Amino acid sequence: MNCKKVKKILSSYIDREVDEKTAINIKEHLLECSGCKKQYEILLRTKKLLNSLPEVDLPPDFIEKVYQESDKRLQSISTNSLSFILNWFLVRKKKAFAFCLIVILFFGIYLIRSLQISQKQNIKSRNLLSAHLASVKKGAFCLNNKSIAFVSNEFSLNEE
Amino acid sequence: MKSNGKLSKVEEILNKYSKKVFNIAYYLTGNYQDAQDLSQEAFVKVITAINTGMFDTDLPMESYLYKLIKNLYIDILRKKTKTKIVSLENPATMTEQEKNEIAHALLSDLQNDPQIVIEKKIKEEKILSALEQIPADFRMPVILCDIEGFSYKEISKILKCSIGTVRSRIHRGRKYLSKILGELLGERNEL
Repeated sequence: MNCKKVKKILSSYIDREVDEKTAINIKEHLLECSGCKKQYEILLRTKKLLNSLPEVDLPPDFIEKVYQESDKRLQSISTNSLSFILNWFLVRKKKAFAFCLIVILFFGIYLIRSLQISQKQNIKSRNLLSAHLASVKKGAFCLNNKSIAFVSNEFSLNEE
Repeated sequence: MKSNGKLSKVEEILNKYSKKVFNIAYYLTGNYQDAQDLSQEAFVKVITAINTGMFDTDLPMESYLYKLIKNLYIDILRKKTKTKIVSLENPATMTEQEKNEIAHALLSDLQNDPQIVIEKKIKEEKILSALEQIPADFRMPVILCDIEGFSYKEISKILKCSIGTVRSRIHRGRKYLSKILGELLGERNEL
Protein backbone atom coordinates (compact mmCIF):
# COMPACT_ATOMS: atom_id res chain seq x y z
CA MET A 1 0.00 0.00 0.00
CA ASN A 2 1.45 3.39 -0.96
CA CYS A 3 1.48 6.58 1.12
CA LYS A 4 -1.15 8.35 -1.02
CA LYS A 5 -3.68 5.58 -0.51
CA VAL A 6 -2.88 5.22 3.19
CA LYS A 7 -3.22 8.96 3.85
CA LYS A 8 -6.60 8.95 2.14
CA ILE A 9 -8.08 6.32 4.45
CA LEU A 10 -6.32 7.13 7.70
CA SER A 11 -9.45 8.56 9.30
CA SER A 12 -11.45 5.48 8.33
CA TYR A 13 -8.68 3.35 9.86
CA ILE A 14 -8.84 5.39 13.09
CA ASP A 15 -12.62 4.96 13.18
CA ARG A 16 -12.30 1.22 12.45
CA GLU A 17 -14.29 1.66 9.27
CA VAL A 18 -11.97 -0.37 7.02
CA ASP A 19 -11.96 -4.12 6.45
CA GLU A 20 -9.56 -6.37 8.31
CA LYS A 21 -7.16 -6.84 5.41
CA THR A 22 -6.84 -3.08 4.79
CA ALA A 23 -6.37 -2.48 8.53
CA ILE A 24 -3.45 -4.95 8.60
CA ASN A 25 -1.90 -3.32 5.52
CA ILE A 26 -2.17 0.16 7.04
CA LYS A 27 -0.76 -1.04 10.34
CA GLU A 28 2.25 -2.53 8.57
CA HIS A 29 2.71 0.63 6.50
CA LEU A 30 2.62 2.83 9.61
CA LEU A 31 5.42 0.81 11.15
CA GLU A 32 7.62 1.61 8.18
CA CYS A 33 6.55 5.13 7.14
CA SER A 34 7.25 7.99 9.54
CA GLY A 35 5.35 10.58 7.44
CA CYS A 36 2.11 8.60 7.46
CA LYS A 37 2.64 7.69 11.12
CA LYS A 38 2.89 11.40 11.99
CA GLN A 39 -0.30 12.18 10.13
CA TYR A 40 -2.02 9.24 11.83
CA GLU A 41 -1.00 10.55 15.26
CA ILE A 42 -2.23 14.07 14.47
CA LEU A 43 -5.61 12.81 13.27
CA LEU A 44 -5.92 10.46 16.23
CA ARG A 45 -5.14 13.29 18.63
CA THR A 46 -7.80 15.49 17.01
CA LYS A 47 -10.36 12.71 17.43
CA LYS A 48 -9.34 12.25 21.06
CA LEU A 49 -9.57 16.00 21.71
CA LEU A 50 -13.12 16.09 20.32
CA ASN A 51 -14.01 12.98 22.25
CA SER A 52 -12.80 14.62 25.47
CA LEU A 53 -15.29 17.47 25.17
CA PRO A 54 -17.73 17.39 28.09
CA GLU A 55 -21.48 16.96 27.74
CA VAL A 56 -23.09 20.38 28.03
CA ASP A 57 -25.69 20.95 30.73
CA LEU A 58 -29.25 21.58 29.61
CA PRO A 59 -30.66 25.02 30.41
CA PRO A 60 -32.74 24.67 33.59
CA ASP A 61 -36.06 25.62 31.96
CA PHE A 62 -35.47 23.77 28.69
CA ILE A 63 -38.15 21.04 29.03
CA GLU A 64 -40.72 23.55 30.30
CA LYS A 65 -40.07 25.85 27.33
CA VAL A 66 -40.40 22.93 24.90
CA TYR A 67 -43.80 22.03 26.38
CA GLN A 68 -44.97 25.67 26.29
CA GLU A 69 -43.86 26.18 22.70
CA SER A 70 -45.38 22.91 21.47
CA ASP A 71 -48.69 23.77 23.17
CA LYS A 72 -48.67 27.12 21.36
CA ARG A 73 -47.86 25.41 18.06
CA LEU A 74 -50.64 22.85 18.53
CA GLN A 75 -53.18 25.58 19.29
CA SER A 76 -52.23 27.53 16.18
CA ILE A 77 -52.49 24.37 14.06
CA SER A 78 -55.95 23.49 15.38
CA THR A 79 -57.23 27.01 14.70
CA ASN A 80 -55.78 27.15 11.22
CA SER A 81 -57.11 24.21 9.22
CA LEU A 82 -55.30 25.28 6.03
CA SER A 83 -51.92 25.14 7.72
CA PHE A 84 -52.91 21.77 9.19
CA ILE A 85 -53.57 20.40 5.70
CA LEU A 86 -50.34 21.90 4.41
CA ASN A 87 -48.42 20.40 7.32
CA TRP A 88 -50.04 17.05 6.66
CA PHE A 89 -48.85 17.18 3.07
CA LEU A 90 -45.37 18.31 4.09
CA VAL A 91 -44.89 15.75 6.83
CA ARG A 92 -46.50 12.76 5.18
CA LYS A 93 -44.95 13.12 1.78
CA LYS A 94 -45.50 9.49 0.76
CA LYS A 95 -49.14 9.47 1.82
CA ALA A 96 -49.71 12.88 0.25
CA PHE A 97 -48.23 11.55 -2.98
CA ALA A 98 -50.53 8.50 -2.84
CA PHE A 99 -53.50 10.76 -2.14
CA CYS A 100 -52.66 12.98 -5.12
CA LEU A 101 -52.25 9.89 -7.29
CA ILE A 102 -55.71 8.61 -6.31
CA VAL A 103 -57.27 12.02 -6.99
CA ILE A 104 -55.58 12.17 -10.41
CA LEU A 105 -56.72 8.60 -11.15
CA PHE A 106 -60.34 9.34 -10.28
CA PHE A 107 -60.26 12.58 -12.24
CA GLY A 108 -58.77 10.71 -15.21
CA ILE A 109 -61.49 8.05 -15.08
CA TYR A 110 -64.16 10.76 -14.87
CA LEU A 111 -62.60 12.59 -17.83
CA ILE A 112 -62.44 9.44 -19.97
CA ARG A 113 -66.05 8.53 -19.08
CA SER A 114 -67.34 11.98 -19.94
CA LEU A 115 -65.40 11.89 -23.22
CA GLN A 116 -66.91 8.51 -24.05
CA ILE A 117 -70.42 9.82 -23.28
CA SER A 118 -69.94 12.89 -25.45
CA GLN A 119 -68.56 10.67 -28.24
CA LYS A 120 -71.65 8.47 -28.05
CA GLN A 121 -73.88 11.53 -28.18
CA ASN A 122 -71.94 12.79 -31.20
CA ILE A 123 -72.43 9.47 -32.99
CA LYS A 124 -76.16 9.55 -32.13
CA SER A 125 -76.62 13.07 -33.46
CA ARG A 126 -74.53 12.22 -36.53
CA ASN A 127 -76.80 9.22 -37.20
CA LEU A 128 -79.86 11.43 -36.79
CA LEU A 129 -78.42 13.95 -39.18
CA SER A 130 -77.55 11.35 -41.79
CA ALA A 131 -81.06 9.89 -41.43
CA HIS A 132 -82.45 13.35 -41.89
CA LEU A 133 -80.29 13.97 -44.94
CA ALA A 134 -81.37 10.62 -46.39
CA SER A 135 -85.02 11.53 -45.88
CA VAL A 136 -84.40 14.91 -47.51
CA LYS A 137 -82.96 13.12 -50.47
CA LYS A 138 -86.10 10.98 -50.69
CA GLY A 139 -88.21 14.10 -50.92
CA ALA A 140 -89.78 14.21 -47.53
CA PHE A 141 -89.27 17.67 -45.98
CA CYS A 142 -89.36 16.59 -42.40
CA LEU A 143 -86.98 15.72 -39.65
CA ASN A 144 -88.27 12.49 -38.15
CA ASN A 145 -90.65 9.61 -38.64
CA LYS A 146 -93.46 11.37 -36.85
CA SER A 147 -93.28 14.35 -39.10
CA ILE A 148 -93.01 12.05 -42.13
CA ALA A 149 -96.19 10.35 -41.04
CA PHE A 150 -97.82 13.72 -40.48
CA VAL A 151 -96.79 14.95 -43.89
CA SER A 152 -97.96 11.77 -45.62
CA ASN A 153 -101.31 11.99 -43.78
CA GLU A 154 -101.78 15.59 -44.90
CA PHE A 155 -100.90 14.58 -48.44
CA SER A 156 -103.44 11.74 -48.52
CA LEU A 157 -106.17 14.04 -47.09
CA ASN A 158 -105.50 16.63 -49.75
CA GLU A 159 -105.76 13.96 -52.46
CA GLU A 160 -109.17 12.89 -51.19
CA MET B 1 -50.95 17.24 25.11
CA LYS B 2 -53.82 15.09 24.01
CA SER B 3 -53.75 11.54 25.37
CA ASN B 4 -51.78 9.77 28.09
CA GLY B 5 -50.09 7.55 25.50
CA LYS B 6 -48.83 10.52 23.53
CA LEU B 7 -47.83 12.35 26.71
CA SER B 8 -45.76 9.44 27.95
CA LYS B 9 -44.12 9.08 24.53
CA VAL B 10 -43.23 12.78 24.51
CA GLU B 11 -41.89 12.53 28.07
CA GLU B 12 -39.83 9.52 27.12
CA ILE B 13 -38.35 11.31 24.10
CA LEU B 14 -37.50 14.41 26.11
CA ASN B 15 -35.93 12.47 28.97
CA LYS B 16 -33.96 10.24 26.69
CA TYR B 17 -32.70 12.64 24.05
CA SER B 18 -32.88 16.23 25.28
CA LYS B 19 -29.35 16.26 26.71
CA LYS B 20 -27.81 14.56 23.68
CA VAL B 21 -29.65 16.76 21.19
CA PHE B 22 -28.70 19.90 23.11
CA ASN B 23 -25.10 18.72 23.24
CA ILE B 24 -24.83 18.23 19.48
CA ALA B 25 -26.62 21.53 18.83
CA TYR B 26 -24.13 23.27 21.13
CA TYR B 27 -21.08 21.89 19.37
CA LEU B 28 -22.65 22.54 15.99
CA THR B 29 -23.59 26.16 16.60
CA GLY B 30 -20.80 27.00 18.99
CA ASN B 31 -22.97 28.92 21.39
CA TYR B 32 -25.49 28.28 24.14
CA GLN B 33 -28.35 30.44 22.86
CA ASP B 34 -28.39 29.07 19.30
CA ALA B 35 -28.11 25.55 20.68
CA GLN B 36 -31.14 26.19 22.89
CA ASP B 37 -33.19 27.59 20.00
CA LEU B 38 -32.18 24.81 17.66
CA SER B 39 -32.83 21.89 20.00
CA GLN B 40 -36.06 23.47 21.28
CA GLU B 41 -37.37 23.82 17.73
CA ALA B 42 -36.43 20.21 16.93
CA PHE B 43 -38.36 18.88 19.93
CA VAL B 44 -41.34 21.16 19.28
CA LYS B 45 -41.52 19.79 15.73
CA VAL B 46 -41.43 16.20 16.94
CA ILE B 47 -44.02 16.77 19.69
CA THR B 48 -46.34 18.64 17.31
CA ALA B 49 -46.03 15.84 14.76
CA ILE B 50 -46.78 13.17 17.37
CA ASN B 51 -49.82 15.02 18.73
CA THR B 52 -51.31 15.71 15.32
CA GLY B 53 -50.71 12.11 14.20
CA MET B 54 -48.26 13.31 11.56
CA PHE B 55 -45.15 11.65 12.92
CA ASP B 56 -44.09 9.52 10.01
CA THR B 57 -40.50 8.39 9.63
CA ASP B 58 -38.57 5.22 8.99
CA LEU B 59 -35.61 6.52 10.98
CA PRO B 60 -34.99 5.73 14.66
CA MET B 61 -35.95 8.65 16.92
CA GLU B 62 -32.34 9.57 17.69
CA SER B 63 -31.34 9.72 14.03
CA TYR B 64 -34.53 11.61 13.20
CA LEU B 65 -33.78 14.26 15.83
CA TYR B 66 -30.21 14.71 14.56
CA LYS B 67 -31.52 15.01 11.03
CA LEU B 68 -33.90 17.72 12.22
CA ILE B 69 -31.05 19.51 13.99
CA LYS B 70 -28.97 19.37 10.83
CA ASN B 71 -31.82 20.77 8.67
CA LEU B 72 -32.64 23.50 11.18
CA TYR B 73 -28.97 24.43 11.39
CA ILE B 74 -28.78 24.72 7.61
CA ASP B 75 -31.83 27.00 7.76
CA ILE B 76 -30.10 29.17 10.36
CA LEU B 77 -26.97 29.36 8.20
CA ARG B 78 -29.05 30.40 5.20
CA LYS B 79 -30.83 33.08 7.20
CA LYS B 80 -27.64 34.52 8.61
CA THR B 81 -26.59 37.38 6.40
CA LYS B 82 -23.42 38.18 8.20
CA THR B 83 -20.71 35.56 7.94
CA LYS B 84 -17.87 35.31 10.35
CA ILE B 85 -14.54 35.10 8.56
CA VAL B 86 -11.58 34.01 10.63
CA SER B 87 -8.11 34.02 9.20
CA LEU B 88 -6.21 30.76 9.55
CA GLU B 89 -3.01 32.69 9.93
CA ASN B 90 -4.37 34.69 12.87
CA PRO B 91 -6.46 32.32 14.97
CA ALA B 92 -9.31 33.74 17.00
CA THR B 93 -8.20 35.03 20.35
CA MET B 94 -10.43 34.95 23.41
CA THR B 95 -12.88 37.75 23.99
CA GLU B 96 -13.51 39.43 27.33
CA GLN B 97 -16.79 37.55 27.66
CA GLU B 98 -15.03 34.23 27.18
CA LYS B 99 -12.44 35.16 29.79
CA ASN B 100 -15.24 36.06 32.20
CA GLU B 101 -16.95 32.75 31.54
CA ILE B 102 -13.75 30.91 32.34
CA ALA B 103 -13.30 32.90 35.51
CA HIS B 104 -16.88 32.13 36.47
CA ALA B 105 -16.34 28.40 35.84
CA LEU B 106 -13.23 28.58 37.96
CA LEU B 107 -15.01 30.24 40.85
CA SER B 108 -17.96 27.86 40.72
CA ASP B 109 -15.69 24.85 40.82
CA LEU B 110 -13.57 25.59 43.83
CA GLN B 111 -13.25 21.95 44.77
CA ASN B 112 -11.01 21.30 41.78
CA ASP B 113 -7.53 22.62 41.17
CA PRO B 114 -8.06 26.09 39.64
CA GLN B 115 -5.06 25.69 37.36
CA ILE B 116 -6.40 22.43 35.91
CA VAL B 117 -9.94 23.80 35.61
CA ILE B 118 -8.86 26.90 33.72
CA GLU B 119 -6.52 24.99 31.42
CA LYS B 120 -9.27 22.52 30.62
CA LYS B 121 -11.74 25.31 29.95
CA ILE B 122 -9.31 27.17 27.67
CA LYS B 123 -8.67 23.97 25.75
CA GLU B 124 -12.40 23.40 25.34
CA GLU B 125 -12.88 26.94 24.09
CA LYS B 126 -10.12 26.44 21.55
CA ILE B 127 -11.63 23.18 20.30
CA LEU B 128 -15.02 24.88 20.03
CA SER B 129 -13.48 27.79 18.15
CA ALA B 130 -11.74 25.36 15.77
CA LEU B 131 -15.01 23.51 15.20
CA GLU B 132 -16.68 26.79 14.31
CA GLN B 133 -14.04 27.47 11.69
CA ILE B 134 -14.44 24.30 9.66
CA PRO B 135 -17.08 24.28 6.89
CA ALA B 136 -20.58 23.19 8.01
CA ASP B 137 -20.55 20.25 5.60
CA PHE B 138 -17.61 18.74 7.45
CA ARG B 139 -18.62 19.84 10.94
CA MET B 140 -21.75 17.72 11.28
CA PRO B 141 -20.18 14.36 10.32
CA VAL B 142 -17.12 15.07 12.48
CA ILE B 143 -19.32 15.90 15.50
CA LEU B 144 -21.51 12.87 14.94
CA CYS B 145 -18.49 10.61 14.64
CA ASP B 146 -16.03 12.02 17.19
CA ILE B 147 -18.31 13.51 19.84
CA GLU B 148 -21.41 11.33 19.57
CA GLY B 149 -19.69 8.13 18.45
CA PHE B 150 -21.94 7.23 15.51
CA SER B 151 -20.79 4.77 12.86
CA TYR B 152 -20.34 5.87 9.23
CA LYS B 153 -23.47 3.93 8.28
CA GLU B 154 -25.56 5.73 10.90
CA ILE B 155 -24.13 9.10 9.86
CA SER B 156 -24.93 8.38 6.21
CA LYS B 157 -28.57 7.72 7.21
CA ILE B 158 -28.80 10.90 9.28
CA LEU B 159 -27.18 13.10 6.64
CA LYS B 160 -28.84 11.28 3.74
CA CYS B 161 -25.63 10.71 1.83
CA SER B 162 -23.44 7.77 0.86
CA ILE B 163 -20.91 6.16 3.20
CA GLY B 164 -18.20 7.27 0.77
CA THR B 165 -19.26 10.90 1.21
CA VAL B 166 -19.27 10.49 5.00
CA ARG B 167 -15.81 8.91 4.86
CA SER B 168 -14.44 11.76 2.77
CA ARG B 169 -16.11 14.52 4.82
CA ILE B 170 -14.89 13.11 8.12
CA HIS B 171 -11.36 12.80 6.81
CA ARG B 172 -11.28 16.26 5.28
CA GLY B 173 -13.01 17.79 8.31
CA ARG B 174 -10.58 16.14 10.69
CA LYS B 175 -7.60 17.29 8.63
CA TYR B 176 -8.98 20.83 8.56
CA LEU B 177 -9.60 20.70 12.29
CA SER B 178 -6.13 19.30 13.03
CA LYS B 179 -4.56 22.22 11.22
CA ILE B 180 -6.65 24.85 13.05
CA LEU B 181 -6.20 23.14 16.41
CA GLY B 182 -2.48 22.90 15.81
CA GLU B 183 -2.34 26.65 15.38
CA LEU B 184 -4.64 27.36 18.32
CA LEU B 185 -2.79 25.01 20.65
CA GLY B 186 0.59 26.23 19.48
CA GLU B 187 1.56 23.07 17.63
CA ARG B 188 2.59 22.50 14.07
CA ASN B 189 0.25 20.04 12.40
CA GLU B 190 1.36 19.78 8.79
CA LEU B 191 -1.01 17.42 6.95
